[in-house]
Amino acid sequence: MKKRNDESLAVPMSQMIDVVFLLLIYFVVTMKDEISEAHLAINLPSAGAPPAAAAAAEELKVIKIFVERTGYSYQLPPRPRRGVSAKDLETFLETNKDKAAKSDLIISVSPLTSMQQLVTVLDFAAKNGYTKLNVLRANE
Amino acid sequence: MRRSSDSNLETPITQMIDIVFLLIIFFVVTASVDKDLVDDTIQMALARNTKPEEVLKANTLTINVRLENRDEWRAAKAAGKALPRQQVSYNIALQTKQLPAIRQELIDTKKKMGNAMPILIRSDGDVNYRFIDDLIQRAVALAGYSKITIVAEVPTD
Repeated sequence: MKKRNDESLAVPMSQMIDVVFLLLIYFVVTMKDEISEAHLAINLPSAGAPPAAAAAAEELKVIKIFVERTGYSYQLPPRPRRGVSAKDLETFLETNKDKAAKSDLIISVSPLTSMQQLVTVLDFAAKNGYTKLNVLRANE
Repeated sequence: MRRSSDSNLETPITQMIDIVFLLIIFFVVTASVDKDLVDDTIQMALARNTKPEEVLKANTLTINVRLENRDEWRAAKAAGKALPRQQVSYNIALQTKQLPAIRQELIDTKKKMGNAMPILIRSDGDVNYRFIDDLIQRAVALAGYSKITIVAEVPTD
């Protein structure tokens, strides 16, 4: 009688291993490579425009970047530069890194540019410590 | 002699189960139950210089912007042909939605969670900015949000 009781209490090893291996195979098959994500926060344009005097005073603290299908442009008064490459833009942002904390970066994006172009600008800005990023749509 | 050889050939079940259980625990812990129902078909723009997010924020609302005819569009671009018109769809948690429905969801979410909840936009890198601008103007801004977060992929190489 005792022997029979012992037998029924034994762990059913084979079945358990079956289940465990099924679980293992399931998790191995469904595991995906994690994609590393960068989060680039931007401000949206507000409805009310600032008064003209305030806008003029603020102008000096503003760096404007234009993203167009054909390339990039930037304007840090009084030096506008048009049709520059991504590399040139990166150099420009790096050179003006000291203004990053105080300056508003206004990125004007043409509707037909790709998101990759916008992300490229945001990426350079984040790299060089610009935190006040404002994105608005340019008129074509 | 034969008996000794047999006993050496036995599979070490106990140790094997230990390892298998450790592996299962690892996978269960790292599986993180369908995080935010992310649209895996989207190929995001690349950000090579930004640090990746170490811990993904818990309370976020992710809007996925998918380029439906991406393959056709890329093939035309690679061949130097005229680019086809982009067909873009928006989805939240894999539920395709039109812009008014997204706006309503954002309004409802704002009522529940307040203004501080980050709105993440995961978009195909090839999508034209005008579709993102439509999303911003006709849904996000109208729902009263003034900030969004654009999600980009950080290449691992």
